[in-house]
Amino acid sequence: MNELLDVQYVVYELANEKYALKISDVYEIIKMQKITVVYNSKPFLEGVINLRGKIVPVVNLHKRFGLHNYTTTKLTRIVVLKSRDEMVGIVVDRVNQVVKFSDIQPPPEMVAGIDGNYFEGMGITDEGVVSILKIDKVLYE
Amino acid sequence: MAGIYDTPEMIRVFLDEAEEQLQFLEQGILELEQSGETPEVIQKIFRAAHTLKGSSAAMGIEKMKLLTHEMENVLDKIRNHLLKASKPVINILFQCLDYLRMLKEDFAADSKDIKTDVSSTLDELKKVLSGEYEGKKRKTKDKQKGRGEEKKFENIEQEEMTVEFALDLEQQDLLEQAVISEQKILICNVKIPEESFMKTARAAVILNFFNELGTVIETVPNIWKIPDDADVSEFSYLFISQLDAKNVEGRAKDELIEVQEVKVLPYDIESPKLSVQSVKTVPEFVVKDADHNKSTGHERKASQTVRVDVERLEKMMNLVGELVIEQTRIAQVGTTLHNRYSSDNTVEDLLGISNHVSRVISELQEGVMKTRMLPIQQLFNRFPRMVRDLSESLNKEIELILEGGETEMDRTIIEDIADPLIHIIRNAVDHGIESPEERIKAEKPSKGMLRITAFTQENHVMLTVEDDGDGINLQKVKESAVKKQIMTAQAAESLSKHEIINLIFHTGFSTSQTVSDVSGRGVGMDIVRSHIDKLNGIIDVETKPGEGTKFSIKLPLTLAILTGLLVKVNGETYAIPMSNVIEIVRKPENELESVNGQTVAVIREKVLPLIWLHDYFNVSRGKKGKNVFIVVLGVAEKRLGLVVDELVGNQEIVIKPLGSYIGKAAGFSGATILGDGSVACILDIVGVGKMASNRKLAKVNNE
Repeated sequence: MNELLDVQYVVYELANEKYALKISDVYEIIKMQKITVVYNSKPFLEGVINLRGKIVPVVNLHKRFGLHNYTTTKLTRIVVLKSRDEMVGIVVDRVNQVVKFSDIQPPPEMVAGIDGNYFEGMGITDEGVVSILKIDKVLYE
Repeated sequence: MAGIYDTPEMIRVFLDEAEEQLQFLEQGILELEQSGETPEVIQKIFRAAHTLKGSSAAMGIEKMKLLTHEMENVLDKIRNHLLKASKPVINILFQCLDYLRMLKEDFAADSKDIKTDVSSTLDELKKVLSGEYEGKKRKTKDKQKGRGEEKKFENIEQEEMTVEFALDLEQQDLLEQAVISEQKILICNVKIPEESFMKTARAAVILNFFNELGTVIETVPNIWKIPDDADVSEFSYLFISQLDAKNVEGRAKDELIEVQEVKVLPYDIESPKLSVQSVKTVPEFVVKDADHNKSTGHERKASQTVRVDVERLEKMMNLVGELVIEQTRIAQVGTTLHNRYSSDNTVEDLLGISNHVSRVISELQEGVMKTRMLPIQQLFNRFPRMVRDLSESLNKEIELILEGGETEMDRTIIEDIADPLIHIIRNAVDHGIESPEERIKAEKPSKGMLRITAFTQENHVMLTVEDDGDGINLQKVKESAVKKQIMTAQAAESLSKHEIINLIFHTGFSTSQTVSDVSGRGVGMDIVRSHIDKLNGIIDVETKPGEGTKFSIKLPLTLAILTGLLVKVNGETYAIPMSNVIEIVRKPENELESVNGQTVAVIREKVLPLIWLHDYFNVSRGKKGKNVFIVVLGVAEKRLGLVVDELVGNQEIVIKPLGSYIGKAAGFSGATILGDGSVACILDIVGVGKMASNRKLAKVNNE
């Protein structure tokens, strides 16, 4: 897992738990904005937003993982990712920092009540442990 | 094979041109069949055939060249009244046309390998040529050729002005070219006074004079061959000129000195004996003259064109769409600012600029849209031949009337509407219009009428196909529907007239007893419906027993930008394509009725099922007011009422896909960005209709 250590990660929070994404997967981080609901679509799809003229779907990861749903605060952000050549946004409670991990451990079977298969591993920082998400798996399965 | 013509660009240009010429040919032959052999028509066909001959020879398509050459020969005979354009001849001409098309296709597929065999058609053409008139023609032609080499002197019988020119092939070709380019071929007889010296020299001066007015092809006697001191006082000049006979004669009389007499007459290139035929040919040339003017006018109109990849236009269209959206936003921000700082002049300026920009943008949008528009004529052009062939095979007499061919539509829509229109026309010819005997029995003219019209109506194009046939037999439709198990006999009985007509759009439906080549398989109208669905169009059928049927299709002008009706349902804004909106009605809640558990409203004496989107989105219907807003929607032949909470207004919207991540969301065709930057989903009316009928089914199943 050495190559993973050289990469920078964006750390964000969902329901007081810290998660991370590879910085290369992140396209943009924007403030929370009005999300238009698309009914009769995927169950955890929050809706769509207008990102400078492009329609971008936004996924509710809280719902996806069965967490307590978010309440919009000043810190709430939409992290726009590039996944499978498609832009997808995820709602996060806050974005903390960009880090490099000193060590990455394989994920346990369950991480904060979420299936361990959704994780790349557990990143170790000075401030604690951060779960690294396999975002493609989370979005498409 | 001519190497320089082998480049893909040249091939494409050739194919485009060939297609155009083939269409001219087709039109011409149809006209020939309908209105007989008028000089204009023959000329039109001739010109098309000749152009094809030239370009196919240049591209090295030997077979096409041969075929067009033989066609030219036949046409030439028709032109000179040596052959009547009778039915068999016209059929052979059509056959040639088909073969030319095949040759073209072959060439497009592989320019080196042309498989289509034209020998049978060539034989047919030759048979036509060697018909009863052939003997006479051959003789004159052989005579001409024979003399072409020898160049003997000819007698000039002055009284009748009969001059025979000995022309070699090259000269004949020059003459043909002249006819095609609509120049006049004139024959000038000049009498030089007997007492003149050096008559030959004088004749040469006259030759030079004529050469200034046009091109002298040949003289009789040939002044270069006769001795200088030959005592010949009469010369005939065959020459090509833009000027007509009178004009030339006038100028010759004015400007030539030492001539006794000048006579200028038109010359008919295939009838060297002018004496009798000249009388006939003169008026013909007059007509041609008018035609000449017309055609130059036409050339002037033909604008310069640039071929552009559709994708580039598509990209431009998208960018303009983006501009439209941003402009709406600027205008909104401007108004907000104006409200906030009403005394600030800069804000005034901003509003002014914003207004101007929005005008420019709307013009730009229109301009870009126009670049994608084509007259529907190019689709209409396919119909006369089709209807002719169909009526021929069905032994029916049909007059096809095409109106509004200049109506312009987005090219993608024209392409997509072709199939449905063809289906409707085939149906009208096969089922609608009766055989002549039946028509006479019904006291109708034996010739049936099929009228296809196109016209623009606000932001839409209306297409109608109307026949004066027997109309749709509603009883038969009902029976067929029951027989084909589309519905039960009971259900069929309770249908309204309108609903019965709409049964014809059902998959697998057909009233035809037999499956014919033309129709009867029951897929036709189904395809029509699905195509029109796809285009966000509406189709309406009106039929009167014994009087005929009329199909009206309403289509949007373009697919990329559309006018949307913005409505609110449960606080969210949705856009409905305006082309699907028939009307908006406000009705008191207590006037709604319930039939079989389905809420309906009676609007303009039609019963409409009502749909609350709230139910499908799992939100509450909201507080009940006194009135409900019903947006009456039409998709192809279906009508339904959509109940909405609020009407916002209409706006130009640009359709944006929801993207592959979301994929297909039932009831939505995409999304658009509104003036305030927020996203509104565009309702897919077909999908909404489907959702409604699925739900009804589920409900029935649950019971």
